[in-house]
Amino acid sequence: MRPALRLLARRLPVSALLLLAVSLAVFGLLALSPGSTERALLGPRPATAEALDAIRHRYHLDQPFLVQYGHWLGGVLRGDMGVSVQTGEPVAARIAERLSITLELGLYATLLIVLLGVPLGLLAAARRDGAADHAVSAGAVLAVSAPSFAVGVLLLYVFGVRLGWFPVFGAGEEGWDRVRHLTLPAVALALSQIALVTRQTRAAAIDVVSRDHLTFARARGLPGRVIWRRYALRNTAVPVTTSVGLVLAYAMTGAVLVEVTFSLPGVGALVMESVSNKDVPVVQGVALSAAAAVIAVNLLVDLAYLALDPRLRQAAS
Amino acid sequence: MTPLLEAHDLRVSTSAGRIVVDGVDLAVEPGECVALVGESGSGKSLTARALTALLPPGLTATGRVRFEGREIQLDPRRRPRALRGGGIGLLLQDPFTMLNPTARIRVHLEETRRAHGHGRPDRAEIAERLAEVGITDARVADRYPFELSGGLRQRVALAACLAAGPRLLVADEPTTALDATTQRGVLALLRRIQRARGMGLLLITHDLRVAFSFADKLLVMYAGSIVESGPPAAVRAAPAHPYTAALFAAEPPLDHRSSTLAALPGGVPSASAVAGRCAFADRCAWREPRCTASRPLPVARAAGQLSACHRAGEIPLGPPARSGGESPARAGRRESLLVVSGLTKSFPLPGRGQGGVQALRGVDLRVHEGESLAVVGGSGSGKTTLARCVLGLERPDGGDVEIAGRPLFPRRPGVPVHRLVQCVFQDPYSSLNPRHSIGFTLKEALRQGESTESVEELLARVGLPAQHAAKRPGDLSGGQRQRVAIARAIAVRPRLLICDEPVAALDVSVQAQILEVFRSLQAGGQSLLFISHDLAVVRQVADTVTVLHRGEVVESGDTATVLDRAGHPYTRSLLAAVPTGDPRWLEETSA
Repeated sequence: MRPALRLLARRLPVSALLLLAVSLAVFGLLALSPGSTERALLGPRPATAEALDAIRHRYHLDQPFLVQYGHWLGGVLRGDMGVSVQTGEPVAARIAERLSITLELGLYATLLIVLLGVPLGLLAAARRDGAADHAVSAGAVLAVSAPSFAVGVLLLYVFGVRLGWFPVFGAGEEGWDRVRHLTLPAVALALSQIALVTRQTRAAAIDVVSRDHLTFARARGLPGRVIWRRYALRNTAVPVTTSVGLVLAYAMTGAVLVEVTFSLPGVGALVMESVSNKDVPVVQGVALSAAAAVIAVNLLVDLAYLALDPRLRQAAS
Repeated sequence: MTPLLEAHDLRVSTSAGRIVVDGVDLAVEPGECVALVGESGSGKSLTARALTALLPPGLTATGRVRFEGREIQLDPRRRPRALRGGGIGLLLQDPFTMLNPTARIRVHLEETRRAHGHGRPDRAEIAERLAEVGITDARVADRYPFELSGGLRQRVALAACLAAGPRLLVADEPTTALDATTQRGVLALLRRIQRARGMGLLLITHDLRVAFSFADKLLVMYAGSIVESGPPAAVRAAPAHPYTAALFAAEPPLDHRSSTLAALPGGVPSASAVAGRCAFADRCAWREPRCTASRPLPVARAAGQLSACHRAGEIPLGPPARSGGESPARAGRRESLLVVSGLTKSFPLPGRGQGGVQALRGVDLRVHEGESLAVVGGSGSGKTTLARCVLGLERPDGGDVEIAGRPLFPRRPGVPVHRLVQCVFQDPYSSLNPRHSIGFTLKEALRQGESTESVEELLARVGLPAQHAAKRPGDLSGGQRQRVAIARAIAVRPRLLICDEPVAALDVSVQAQILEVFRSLQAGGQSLLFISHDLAVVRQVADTVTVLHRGEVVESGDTATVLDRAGHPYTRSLLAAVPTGDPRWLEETSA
């Protein structure tokens, strides 16, 4: 476990600095928002002198920018990201109430991506230039060029409206009903990413298949499942993990469009609402959380490298 | 007795119909060791792949192959898994890529045992199997391949092959990627195991002398077909095919400086280009009209010796005659050109903390004007680091490098280092820019050297026709590329030319041609610093030799003195590692 600890010791401070830089940019959103900052924070409430004073006091608007930032950052570190302009609720609470849907959607989509993308890529590599490879590659080109909102509308129409197999609206109840409700959105979100991961896996596997160690494995009469699992899959794992990490980061931004298309009350939908209502504190909160999540995913990918490749373990220690 | 393996009319062709192996017949008896010798492009490796049903995609094999008396399939999809590894095993060339980088050594043996219906071997069995290949440290089982040296990895790969219990092992250049001293150890081990197990062995090699020492039977392959076969002793005493004789003559001798080296002009043609005629005719000094009219069939010459030559028996062939003597006397010692004194250099190594690897530990050497010095040593001896320091590519930790009386470090304004020193690298495939024409590359170098020479003159000096200026490196063979690389280096008119293993990646016949180029440069007064692990090559070009071992000079002096009367045990081990062609060469090792 030592290489992992060394990696964390090296990377955590960097991640923290990165997050700090992002937070400064996110806080800058407020100053950049159109009109006066007080107005922006007041939202639709009547702009009485008392209300404006209270806002100024609460957000330290009479002090220099960096001091304002310092107060805001202090709040964020204590879990206080301000209050929603629209509802007056704490931002953290608004995000938390929406988070589970988005996480479930992201997890569902990621499972689809990994469980379909990787095997399809391996299949295409194994049948290189055969019918299966051509079919998979053509499908991948089609899927990668289809935008998720367009796919979403198409899926809604075909499987929701015409065939009636899946619900067309909302997130449903916890449990099986939720899975049914999230299936079409997850497919819409995952489709282009499955295509990307398939292509990555195919390229990585073709590279591995032509390597000596795979020829040597075949020469020793190892059964196909051992060759594919221990040789091909294991040695394609590093590039595939890289692309899955990128895909995870995308799944979070992609969720915005998909959640709106499928009327899912997730974080993506919250962003849309907040942007259209100029609810700057909520946008700040979501942006910061998303940045933290992307940084965390990248860190996890780097840790996964260590688990997957002994050579990288040695290089890290 | 039924042969263990019998191949008849084995052919390999590409999907476009190009022939690469053109009707090979071969047989391996049980417990017999057969060597298949050929240069690159001869089709020897593809023959091995065809027999093991492991041809790369796009190539197909036809022909009749019988293993233990039963016909076996050449189609990879129809080759039964039990036959792979269990019947015929294959050991590949490069130990650095052959093992699964993400699996421990133990796993390689376990999976092979289990693939052939045995239980998972326990610790004791793994240790025993590693001991069979000369690995006595049982902890190796828990290592990953990247933690082991090339020699150890090749032994592990051999153990993994043997774990399948093959009756026939096909070894495709198993020691080419290894150091000379390691090569001898691995070959001796292979021979010992083959005898102990009574296993058949088909050794694919480019080195005629290795084959002479190693095999019970010898096959010489050229441009896709077998031109000569027979017992090694008989072939060695009297080669019956002009190609074998030429190949033999191109091998540089260790015990003297041969006055003529290049025996074979040109390069190996493709098998398609020479179908229906003698493949060797274009390069053969004995060619007659009938040689290009029909393909000669193998005819018996002596006991068991066959030669596919129309003129077999008519032409006088023999082992290469000893020619020439020691290096031509050079005019008395002139001034020193390169003086290296007390040179030290270390590299940090991850996980080793401070210190790291000490590549050079106080190296002293001197090259006089017009002299050729060879620096010899095995891998890790520091010879390449030394070359990089003299080139100014690496900054030494201590000591001085002085070229033509000017210290190299610290840098001073004036004539830049690259005007004084140029380098020819080992791999001509990666040392030339593939997008530039030869003419462009050479013109650029001539400008650097403010030379008035033309590209044509430059090409002529390295023995290439002027038309090559319009070509790109991709259009040239390895030997031609190395000539271009030499031309590029001498275009700058360097005072000192460093050659870092300049012939190690080349075939024997091409190697001889390139060595002749170096000799003609020497005759023109060029000073050389020649880095090599091959003492037979060194003997042909160097005036003086410096032996480097673990970053220290252990011996130096005149080439003849050092090689004939070696004082240091390390020099003697390097000398012993040079294949002699004598069967005793492998018997005498204790490895």
